[in-house]
Amino acid sequence: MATLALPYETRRYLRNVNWYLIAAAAAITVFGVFAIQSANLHSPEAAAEYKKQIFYGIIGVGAMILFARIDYRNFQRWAPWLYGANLLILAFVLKGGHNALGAQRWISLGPLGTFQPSEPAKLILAVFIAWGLCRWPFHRIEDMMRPLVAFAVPALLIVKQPDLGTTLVMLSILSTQLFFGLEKLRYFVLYALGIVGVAAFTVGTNFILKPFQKARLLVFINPKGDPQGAGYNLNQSKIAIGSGEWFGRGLHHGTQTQLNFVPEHSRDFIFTVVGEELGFLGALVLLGGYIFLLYGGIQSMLAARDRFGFLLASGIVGMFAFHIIVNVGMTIGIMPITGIPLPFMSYGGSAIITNFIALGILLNIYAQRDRGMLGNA
Amino acid sequence: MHKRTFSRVGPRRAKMLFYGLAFVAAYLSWRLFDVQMVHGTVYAKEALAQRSDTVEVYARRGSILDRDGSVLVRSLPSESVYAVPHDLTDPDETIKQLERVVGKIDKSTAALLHDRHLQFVWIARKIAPDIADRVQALDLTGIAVIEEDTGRRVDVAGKSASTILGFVGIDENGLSGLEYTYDDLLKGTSGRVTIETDEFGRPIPFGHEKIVRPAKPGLSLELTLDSYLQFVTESALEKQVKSYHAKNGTAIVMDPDTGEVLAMANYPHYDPNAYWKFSSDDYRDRAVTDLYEPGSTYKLLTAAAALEAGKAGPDRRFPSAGPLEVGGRRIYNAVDGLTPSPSGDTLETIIADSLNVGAAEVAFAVGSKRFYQMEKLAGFDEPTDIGISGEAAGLVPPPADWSGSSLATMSFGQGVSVTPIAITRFYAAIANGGMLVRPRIIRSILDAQGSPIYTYPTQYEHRVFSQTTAKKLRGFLRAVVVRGTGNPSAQIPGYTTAGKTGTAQDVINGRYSGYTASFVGMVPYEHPRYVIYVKVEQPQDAIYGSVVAAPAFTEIAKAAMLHSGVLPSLPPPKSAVAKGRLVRRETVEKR
Repeated sequence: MATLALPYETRRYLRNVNWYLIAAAAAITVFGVFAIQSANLHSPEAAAEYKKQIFYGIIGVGAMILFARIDYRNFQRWAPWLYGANLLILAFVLKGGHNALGAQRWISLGPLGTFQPSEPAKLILAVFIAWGLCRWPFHRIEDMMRPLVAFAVPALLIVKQPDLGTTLVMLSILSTQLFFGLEKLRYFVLYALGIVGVAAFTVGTNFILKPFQKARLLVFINPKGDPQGAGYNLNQSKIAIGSGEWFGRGLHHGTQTQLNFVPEHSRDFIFTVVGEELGFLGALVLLGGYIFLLYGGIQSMLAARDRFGFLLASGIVGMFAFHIIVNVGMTIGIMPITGIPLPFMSYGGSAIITNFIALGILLNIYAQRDRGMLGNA
Repeated sequence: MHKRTFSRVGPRRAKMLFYGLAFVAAYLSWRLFDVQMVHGTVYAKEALAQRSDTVEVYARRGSILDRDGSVLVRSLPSESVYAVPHDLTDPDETIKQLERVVGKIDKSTAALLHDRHLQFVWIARKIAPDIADRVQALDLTGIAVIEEDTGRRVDVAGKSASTILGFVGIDENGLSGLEYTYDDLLKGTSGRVTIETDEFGRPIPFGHEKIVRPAKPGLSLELTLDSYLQFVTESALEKQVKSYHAKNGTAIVMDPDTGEVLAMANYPHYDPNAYWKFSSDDYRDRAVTDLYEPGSTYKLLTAAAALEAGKAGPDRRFPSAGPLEVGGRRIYNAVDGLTPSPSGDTLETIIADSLNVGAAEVAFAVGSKRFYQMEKLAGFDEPTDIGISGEAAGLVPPPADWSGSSLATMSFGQGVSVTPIAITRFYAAIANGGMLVRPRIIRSILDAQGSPIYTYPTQYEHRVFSQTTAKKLRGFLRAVVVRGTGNPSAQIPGYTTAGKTGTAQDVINGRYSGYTASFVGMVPYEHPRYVIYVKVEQPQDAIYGSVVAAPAFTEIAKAAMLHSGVLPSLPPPKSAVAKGRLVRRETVEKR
């Protein structure tokens, strides 16, 4: 009702805001800040993480507003440049990056801390593939090579870091975009079969993955086989989530979380904090938030005024969906453990800012729906 | 073309994507439900198990007390020192520093400390708390002090009563003596407490604690032993064993009315705190485990049988000169006996003068059936059930197994084997009026607070002989001391003693070799309070019970009487007597 009092322009503008996306992302981010704070209650060295997360969230919202106001069609023009610059940065990470936890994923930004280029690399890939799918003809099966190579070059640079999780996220972006971009479904089926073949080759041999990565990947099949080793994370995470039962043990009262049994519980395993301290209902509320987020993403897809927007949005939705499914799945033992953070929940500046930027892009795509070809009515 | 297909294909595939996502969401929710709701309790338990650790809580082993409640053996919480050789930077220096506190570290341990692969090596176990504190004060890397689940057993009395008390192993498990026999009572049940721990298993201060099973301290034993009498008995025995270079000795002091063993000494003995330094032969409680031929002390059984059968009136004389030809054997009077009278001797004289031939004649008068009956009544063929493990039953063959000379030799204690405690019990029957009493070493079982939860009652098995017989037998024993073999070695000025000497040949591997000198007596003779048994095996220089054993008897008897507060009824010194008379005369005169 209140909107009636607003000027027409404002009302029109507000109508073009995808509120699902904003509400879901905001709620989840706040939820995440509380979870991070609880997770680090007894880790003095990480006690400031939740404050930093608030800070990053504010920066992220700013970035979201900025990107929501940038016409996404600009990216179509910038796509090759963005892609090239991204490759240079990723190559630089391997050469002169910042080393931590046995991986070289970060670039030092001096006083601003560190920055993880593989995060924006996901969005840049989504832009580039969307761009390519709008340009490249797909008449023969060989035409599939272009998107695959476009994916493979940055993916290899990232897998070398090594960051298997992000590589898989990029694969999910490519897959979603191919699913929506390939006219002939049988090309996509062939592609999917190829992926399955490559996956089998990866798991069956040591050519692509280091043995520790493989052990971590496959341990979810039999976590009890090595409860103190590769299966440790998974067992701990299942115990934590399982012990939450209906209503959880209360915020700050999850013993598994508070006593640091669950590893990385402010980052990749943040879902265990929710599962343990807020229980099944808390976890369902969080999952509901993500359903809203994805629903909003699909709305943006369908509202897209052109093919590029549609494919870009689908890549972003695919990225979010993959993050959510794999992250939640790994904590309850139905997905391999691949260091993939939970969007808007896991602690991490690069990730949350990237996620808000992606949200901004989705908002921009949605906001231009009145000029769209599909419409939504 | 793109645009056309895009508008056609897009929504359809988006719908597919949406349904796909909805399906995945449903699946995730179902899995979540499975983990949290279906198996939630299981995981919750696992969570509790994981952040909790169940630790054993030390339960103190019960003490062993003497009859006055003084501690003989007790357990203290103990600490041990161990090393983590892997963490030792300079083993030699560490050893040097440790040796200054815990004493010499043996070579094999030192070698282990140099092995960098090892994670755990004991250095000193169950050390005194002050030593443990000093080790901690050293603050050596790779060296730690740990509290043991079991305590450190301290035999306060040292060697005293060691053969009765026994000893425990490093884990406080009873290995010998009462410690072994009553291990189940003494040892506590260690408690279990579940404590909350963090990811490294460290207890969380003020964390949730749950007592799974409370630590139950062991029960304590209150013995019938009197520490003072035990000490006196041991020193008297030791003195005799040592002065006669004997192999070993045993002495028992018993309250004849209750069967309570007030002292039980064996020599040689050992130190339970360092039992490994002694021969396992010394661990034995010879008073209950060793059989020996009792010799002349057994004549009282012959006398009892004769009195009960009415075969020995006070005036009846038995031929006692010998030698006696029986069953192809010649029986002589023993060298320690006194000279028999050619016209025969009364039973009293046969006992008093320890005449073997006379005893044999008495036994003939009694007959083998009645003699064997008395042996059985006296309980020589079975253990006394004193409650010390390893007790032997006497070897008392039934008449069917006897040879022609058996009755004759058994009448003076040859050809039968009994334990010292069984002989003591028989003499207790003489002292208490004819009742066979069950000897007791344990008076009460106490709970951890020291209140008795069970007190053993005096237990009379049955009557062995009549009160009259008992009284007569006591008279015989008094005669031994007054005018027989015990005169004067078993006499104590001021106290009336009674008893019997025994000098038996030892049976070693089925052959007689060496002697066993013994004396069993009681004090005071009228109403005996103490039955005192002394036995010395294989004495050198002298062999007679009157010489080797009786002095220990008198020493113990005197101390026992004084200890119980009975002053000797000494004849007044001559000067006092004279004065007394003078005084009396004066008073008479004044009157």
